[in-house]
Amino acid sequence: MKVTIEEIAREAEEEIILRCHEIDADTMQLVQKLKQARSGNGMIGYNGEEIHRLKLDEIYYFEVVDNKSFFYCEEEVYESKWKLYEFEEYSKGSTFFRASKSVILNIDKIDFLRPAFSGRFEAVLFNKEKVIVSRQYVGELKKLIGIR
Amino acid sequence: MSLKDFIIQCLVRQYFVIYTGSMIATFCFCKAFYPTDELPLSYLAWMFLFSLVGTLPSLVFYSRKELSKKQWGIRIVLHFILLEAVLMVTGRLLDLYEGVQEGIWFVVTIFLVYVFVWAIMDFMDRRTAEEMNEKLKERRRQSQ
Repeated sequence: MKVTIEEIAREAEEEIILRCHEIDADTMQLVQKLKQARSGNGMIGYNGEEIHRLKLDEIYYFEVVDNKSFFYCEEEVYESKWKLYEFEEYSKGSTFFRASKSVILNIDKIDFLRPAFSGRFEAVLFNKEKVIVSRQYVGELKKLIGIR
Repeated sequence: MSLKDFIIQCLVRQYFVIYTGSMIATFCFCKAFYPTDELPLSYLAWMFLFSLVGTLPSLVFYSRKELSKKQWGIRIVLHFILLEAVLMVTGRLLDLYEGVQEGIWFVVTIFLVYVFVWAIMDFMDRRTAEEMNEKLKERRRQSQ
């Protein structure tokens, strides 16, 4: 694969263009890594007066409750300034998927899944927390883990 | 999920499951009480309407917020009571049963169909969960 780096003037906007034959999972992962690198390799989470830099793989899930956003890690919960759609866009192509109207869940943090009535599933995470995967987003989860 | 999506995605699917279950229950009911009778063609149309009426109480499951398991449990009980009430009234109007004994059997039949529908859905969900858990394990093995 050919790699071209072009130096541009200070006032011009920096841009990365990927030219590929098809957009596959590898391409999306590469885009994801580039996005993470440009955002300083982490997200900011607030815990009271403390400010924490969080890596994507530390986050179990992202949830919006009463218009407030939170990053849920193994034990800690951090408030965030991110909107749900912003985090969804940012985490696209990674291990995160939309689990319900207000939750984006990290698939790598799911220990197992079990039915939760009428096409919904309860994801039991490695920290024993339980998150509901809505019926309408089960398709996305299946696709992500390779079930058609 | 909007109400429109709920009707399309959930109620329509449930309607067909109920229709199938009702036909099986009709077969069992007639086999027990009227083994020599023949059903008129209009019965199929009545069951079409009957299943539609039976699907309507499922609107109690609609919620804009994600329901907890406990909330689901409460709504299932409420749904069953509503379903029994709606079907008993409609069944009586359509002369689907007569007298107390048949009425009791009618209630039992509704209960059996109800259990059948939930058992099918539960069976399918369990299979899906098993399949997904297998894929999750495979994914973990590959990343190690």
